[in-house]
Amino acid sequence: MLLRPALDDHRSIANDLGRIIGVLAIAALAPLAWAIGKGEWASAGTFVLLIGLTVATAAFADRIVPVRKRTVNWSHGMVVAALTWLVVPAYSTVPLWMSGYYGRWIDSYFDAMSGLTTTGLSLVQDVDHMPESVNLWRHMLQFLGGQGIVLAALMFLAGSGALSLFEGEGREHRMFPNVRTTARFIWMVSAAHALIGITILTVDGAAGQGFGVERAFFHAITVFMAAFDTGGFSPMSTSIAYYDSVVFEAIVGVLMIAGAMSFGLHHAIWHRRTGGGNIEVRTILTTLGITVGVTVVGLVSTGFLKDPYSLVRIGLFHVLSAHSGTGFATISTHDLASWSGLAFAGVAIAMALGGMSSSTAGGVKALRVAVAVRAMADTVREALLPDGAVVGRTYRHHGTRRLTPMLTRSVFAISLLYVALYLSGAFVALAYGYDLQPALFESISASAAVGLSVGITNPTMPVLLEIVYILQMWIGRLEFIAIAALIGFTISTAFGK
Amino acid sequence: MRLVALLTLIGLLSVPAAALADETVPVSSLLANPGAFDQTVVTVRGEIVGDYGRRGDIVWVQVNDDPYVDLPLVQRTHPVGTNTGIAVRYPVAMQGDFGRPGVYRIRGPIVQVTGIFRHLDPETGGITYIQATDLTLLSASERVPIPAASPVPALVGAVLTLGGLYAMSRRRDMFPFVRW
Repeated sequence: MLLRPALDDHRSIANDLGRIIGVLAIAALAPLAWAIGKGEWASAGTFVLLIGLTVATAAFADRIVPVRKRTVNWSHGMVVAALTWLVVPAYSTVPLWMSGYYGRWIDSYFDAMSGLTTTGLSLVQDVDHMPESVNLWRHMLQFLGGQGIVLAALMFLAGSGALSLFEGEGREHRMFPNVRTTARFIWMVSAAHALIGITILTVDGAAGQGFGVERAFFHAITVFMAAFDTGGFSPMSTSIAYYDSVVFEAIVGVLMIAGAMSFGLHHAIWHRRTGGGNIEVRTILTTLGITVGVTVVGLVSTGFLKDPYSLVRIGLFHVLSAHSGTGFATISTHDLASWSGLAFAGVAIAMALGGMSSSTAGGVKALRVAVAVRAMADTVREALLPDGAVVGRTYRHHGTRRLTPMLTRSVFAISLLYVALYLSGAFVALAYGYDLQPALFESISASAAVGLSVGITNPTMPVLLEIVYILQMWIGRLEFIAIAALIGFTISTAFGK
Repeated sequence: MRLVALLTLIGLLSVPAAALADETVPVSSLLANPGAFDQTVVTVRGEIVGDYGRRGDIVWVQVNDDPYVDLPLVQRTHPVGTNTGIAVRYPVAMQGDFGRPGVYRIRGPIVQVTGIFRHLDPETGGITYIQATDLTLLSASERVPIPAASPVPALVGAVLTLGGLYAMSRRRDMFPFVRW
């Protein structure tokens, strides 16, 4: 029998949700300061409005249920995480929609969801003339989402529900026993990368590319947030092609790799331990090598590129961009759409596989691929060995772990759900008359939080398809569990007794 | 000599008619059908946006020829599409006093660029751009007049912020969202 959640459950969820939304007010202070500094008064007003709305929401939620009576369990945490990722984009649209650079409100919601889920698909129009503060906000959404909105809240918050909130955002590995300490470590790693990355990109922009220092800093801060958080937004309409710089692309490549690495691996490196024996590291290096090879063979065989320099610069960069889930491009949408055969397959598979678990990347994740391959290999070994022979079922991932049947089932289930998610968006696009290849490409890109586009995502796209991509980004980012909890909670509320 | 003349003639005949004429080629056509224009002389008209990338003897810019060239978005009631731009490379000697490239509130210099369209140029590692041989300034950069910002959003936001902070301060644990 389904049990209907009590009124206190709803109040408790609303309370948590409101307080997490309150964190958005702190994030909006940076673009507000930028807008004031640049004299972008219209944008400054919209950031003040956003801050007012989020503070008022936090205050309202706080009055609904006194803190001492709050009860948070695993289910609540999951529901809060799922709702957070639906509601926060709605609040985030205030400066975007009011800027006038979006044709429809849903387009600004699409961009906010794309930013927060670090996807990078965008429906912004005339981004080349967008106020810098609003453009900064788009990129900040990627930083906030990549690190985790709930994680941001957990830096300040701690308590019984913290673990479920942490896991609700699709994170599994805690570096420290305390979730709050883990959250602070993740933000510390990001801050260190930000300091180094923004400095190097600014120096390259000013000295190597001849930009003014102020503009070089703006490009550096926005590109850093999009690269390290594997987001893929860019401050200019031509993405990374705008910079035409091998050095810049190399720096961005390093940042994309750092972003696709799990924070557990960052933790290991931070403490001078190598990740060489880690099954996830070996897997992602293997899949990256294979997809680069497949793509390069495809580009050569179709005659798209022939010379080694172009193959390395274009082929390697785009596979890395796809595999890390970033979505930066150095060629036009038309050119990318013309990739066929193995080149298409290489990039599509790279997108679908994604980065490491507990990183800012999306997709199936290298750890699941590794566990699935290990489970299949063990099954084959078991069949080949004599009866009664014992097959050691373990794998190395931050220590030696047992490959239990339950873990194997879970890995296959989530992986299959990703495949279903990839196909679902493709079917909707097919229904609208798009060809199979672009339909599948764009759907994988949305679901795996990549952001590479072959042109389907544009301001004239059908609204229903836009909504489907929004849902794919949301579901893909939260990795299904929190969504299932939300559906269960909704059904219990509607039909429970 | 005759061989050179013959090759030139063959080259000219292979150039699309649009590129031979004085008329400009839309950037969208270049991007949609790059093979047809590759290594040919093309002319595009558009706005320099973003930044001047000054690298030694050359300047690298992005030239957009979207609808915002004629009427910037801040002067429109509704956006009319995404940007369409192409990279242009030219010797620094061609750079005149064009003014600030297009950004928010600034319409960048409108220029006419004639040059060789290089699609996935192997020499640059697969970059697509126009190597300009002629760059004409049609209209210098100018500040776009925009209506004064409405104070309403800021006022509403300020009232909500103050009200919210006051409501939270009434509780014993002030700013509860920083304490779980």
